[in-house]
Amino acid sequence: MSYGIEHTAHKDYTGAKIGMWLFLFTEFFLFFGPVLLYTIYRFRYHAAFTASSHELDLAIGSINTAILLTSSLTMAVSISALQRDRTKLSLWMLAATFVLGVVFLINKYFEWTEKFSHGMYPGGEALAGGPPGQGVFYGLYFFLTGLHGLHVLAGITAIGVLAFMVLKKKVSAADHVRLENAGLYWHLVDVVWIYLFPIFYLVR
Amino acid sequence: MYENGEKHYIARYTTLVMVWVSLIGLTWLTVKISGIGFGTFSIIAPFLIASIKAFLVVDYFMHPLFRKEG
Amino acid sequence: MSIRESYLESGPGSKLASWIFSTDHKRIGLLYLAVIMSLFFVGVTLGFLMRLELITRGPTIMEAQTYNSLFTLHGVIMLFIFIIPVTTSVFGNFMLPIMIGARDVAFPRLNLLSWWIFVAGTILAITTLILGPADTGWTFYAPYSLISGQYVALAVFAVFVLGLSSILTGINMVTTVHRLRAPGMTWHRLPLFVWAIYATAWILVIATPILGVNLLMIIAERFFGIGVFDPAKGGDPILYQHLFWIYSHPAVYVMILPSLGVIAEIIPVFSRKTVFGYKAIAYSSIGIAALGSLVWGHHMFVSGYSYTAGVIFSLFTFLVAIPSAVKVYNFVGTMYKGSIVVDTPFYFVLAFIYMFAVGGLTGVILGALSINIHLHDTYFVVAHFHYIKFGAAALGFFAALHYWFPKVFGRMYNRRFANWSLLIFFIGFNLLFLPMFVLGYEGMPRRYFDYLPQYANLQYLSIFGSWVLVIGIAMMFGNLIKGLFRGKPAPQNPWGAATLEWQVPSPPPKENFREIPEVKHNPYHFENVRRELD
Repeated sequence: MSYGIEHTAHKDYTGAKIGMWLFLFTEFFLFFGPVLLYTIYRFRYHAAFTASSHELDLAIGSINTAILLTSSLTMAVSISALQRDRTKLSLWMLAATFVLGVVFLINKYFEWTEKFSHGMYPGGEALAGGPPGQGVFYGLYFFLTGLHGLHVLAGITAIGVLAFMVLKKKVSAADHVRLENAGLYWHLVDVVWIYLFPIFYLVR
Repeated sequence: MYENGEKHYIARYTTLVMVWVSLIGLTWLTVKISGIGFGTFSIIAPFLIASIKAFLVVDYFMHPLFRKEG
Repeated sequence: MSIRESYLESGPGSKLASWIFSTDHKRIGLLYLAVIMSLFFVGVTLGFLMRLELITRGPTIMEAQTYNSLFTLHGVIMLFIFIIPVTTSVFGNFMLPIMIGARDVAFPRLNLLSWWIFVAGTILAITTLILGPADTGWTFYAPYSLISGQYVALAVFAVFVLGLSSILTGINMVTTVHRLRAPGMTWHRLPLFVWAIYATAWILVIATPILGVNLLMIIAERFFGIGVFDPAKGGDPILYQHLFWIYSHPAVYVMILPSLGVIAEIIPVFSRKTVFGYKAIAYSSIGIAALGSLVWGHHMFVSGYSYTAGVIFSLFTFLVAIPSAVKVYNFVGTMYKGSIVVDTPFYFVLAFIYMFAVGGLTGVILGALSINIHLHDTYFVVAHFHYIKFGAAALGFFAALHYWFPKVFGRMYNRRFANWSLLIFFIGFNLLFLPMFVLGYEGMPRRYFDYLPQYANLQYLSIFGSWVLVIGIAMMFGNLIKGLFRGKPAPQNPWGAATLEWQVPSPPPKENFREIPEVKHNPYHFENVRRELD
């Protein structure tokens, strides 16, 4: 039993999009704060930031970047497919996006644990003796990539839920704004990483 | 798909793939040139490239999702 | 279940469930009211106890550590649980859809989720009260917030959760105003309260995430020592202040804009005259939101940043007073040559204008660099922000309660008693806070548990004022609660207002309108409406 007002089933597609856009806007500001801090600290500790950046695994970082970019492609194709009523293709693409997201997180896990094992984490012995800029770099690195990782996790969950809804025909060619909104969210997660990658891995 | 007699924009697969190729290429480029530059300004080139990549994602992957009613 | 039934009626089944799982914006507004007012009284009690502690020098009824926790929790409750959300989440939710001719907000289920998240944040905040409330001040400045032994991370997380609720409400309100206006309801026919909530919602969307991430970094510092704000690790605590005030200054506009909107609704009705300078009032809300985003550094004049930055922040602080003043001039301009009806909501308006003027002007004083060096972190600041947040913003909320009460509950309260309660409140408020300007000017620092003998007399006056104030608040709310249960049934349009909420029954039916109205004229067009109260 619905306790709310019994609305006529009037779906506002544009309204849903505006709502999602506004939410993405808030996510931009969420990441903006620490990136602003990063910018300031980079000027302050340029040498230490450069040195620390060299210590990150560029290979994994680049591969992860490629993975997320590819997942954006599969997501976009998934939506395009559903719009053309190609449900099967859409589902496969969603599955691919999901898997790519999971692989991204697994890579992250290996990357992080590698650092942990060498004491390269806030509070770890290797950083304790190092210059202050190095500590700040790693602090920002773990915080920002961690925050981003949480968003990837949320995105993967959303994709899983959407895939289920597509299977159950609750989301279809006739009514797919929710898939599009999930896509928008996923692309935002990709765009954030597009910036995080150079600021952490490519400081020279 | 038609709505009110208007055909609205659905992204074409080939466009999407070409954008993806550009994104991968730009990523390769940004890694390659990250050594070039001087001191604090070495951020400029990677940042510019990142912005181009972001623009591609926003304009080709996200923008079609903001089309009118449907 | 007929849609003509008032929203207060529930069908068969659990009444509680029908309320706390309701997606009806009117019920959600009242759900917010219930939670917020309960916590408001806790906040008032904390303030009262703080005043009581200061009745003698040195420890009176508590130790210094407790005092620090009290002012912290007082701030957290009064700001994040009361004044930031109250007018937007109670009256924005209840009235805005009706005022624009809609049946609900754009995302009713998200609205319910916002309330549940708000409740969660409130519970977390209260939990710190029991476990070990933070003693950092509501501002949680690093580096002390990084090392305090109290439950700072929990308190900070509570504020994060409350902020999330704000963000979702902001998204809902912006989308609602864009998408759900009735036919004929153009932007320039929107009631000014709607403009105010719209501007507020934008600030919520833009500024709150920055606070959110700042708080997350405090938590990351406390648990993982990431080092961004800790000087021992190369971090800079001033950067915390910057990020904090980049949100918290716009937040004060979140607190005042809705109240200014309420006042803008009441004045034309009680002047029987359309508002003077509608566009100026509407756009000044946007102007305040925009300019207000550029002044955050005025909280940090003495933090050691560059003189040039200080000059710029000071300049913008003066500039933001302009759209605020525009509103006051236009309020008075509306009343000029109007046919004034002196009734309860109008008394609130008069009190508000005085409070807003005192609070606003003392803000401009604080915006002057040289004076700020002397007055920063003194009682002068405490007096300033209480005038503007309690005397003006909260009073605007009380005004809204007294204006919209008959519509929301379908009953009238005792207006004569309400007027007396306002007078007692007003006297108590000024006795409590006016001396603080002098105390601050004479050098008494804020957040101090003890004081030098020369400050004693003014402290006594202020403490006495707090008792009078509390009596006024008790009278005011006792009266409203009595009206809730025993008040006479209210007519549909007691005050003779022209905005859409007064064209539906008191209390409104579940779906707000039988048919969505078509709007043909501006909201302060009094030709065809009559006051229905005696």
